[in-house]
Amino acid sequence: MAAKVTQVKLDSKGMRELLNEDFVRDHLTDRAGRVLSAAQAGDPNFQYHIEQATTDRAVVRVGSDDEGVLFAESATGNLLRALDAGAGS
Amino acid sequence: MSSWPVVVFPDVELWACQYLQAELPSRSEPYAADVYVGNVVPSPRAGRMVVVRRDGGPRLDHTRDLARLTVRVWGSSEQEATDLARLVAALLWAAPNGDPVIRVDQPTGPTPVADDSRQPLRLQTFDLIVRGTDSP
Repeated sequence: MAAKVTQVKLDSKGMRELLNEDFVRDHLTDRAGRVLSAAQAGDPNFQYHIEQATTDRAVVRVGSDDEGVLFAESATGNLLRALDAGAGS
Repeated sequence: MSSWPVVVFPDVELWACQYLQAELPSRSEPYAADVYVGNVVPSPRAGRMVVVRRDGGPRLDHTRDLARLTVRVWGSSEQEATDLARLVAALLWAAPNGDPVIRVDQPTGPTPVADDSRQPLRLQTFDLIVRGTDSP
């Protein structure tokens, strides 16, 4: 008996439009807010913030421009650990 | 009684240290010799050091874990720190064989960091997806 083959064709233009929709940015911003809260609680010595950006899709970043934050991150992994707060629903 | 197998994940920090401790001495690059590898900075400090730390990462499903690793590399010069960091990255990227590492990604490449010790330091981060094992 011949195997049944199902073909799926991805609409690349549609996917690009989807990834730039407001609801995607809102969803990412909500998660970034949780990461921001966890990072700020983890190390109150630095000021963390959210940055909105766009590549080929909506991008939301959490970071800090404070002097010495990279060395602190190297020593503690505070921001990296805070990423877990953005997971889940 | 559980209807699912009990799956335990490996200690990825320990695995990475043991893997790099085994691989670095077999390399011919001069900066791969006499490298301290561990999960804490030794005292006294070494001229060449690789320090691995797990910084979270979620369990993906019943059998796979995503471990975020911060890997700090120090050298006795800026160039040596960069070269050793590049070699460490190459070794980690070559690791996936399913036992236990399935996949490696590197969100952050070798990044110079001003260390209080003034010893040249490079910071890198890796995401390792690993497979768990059945625990009887």
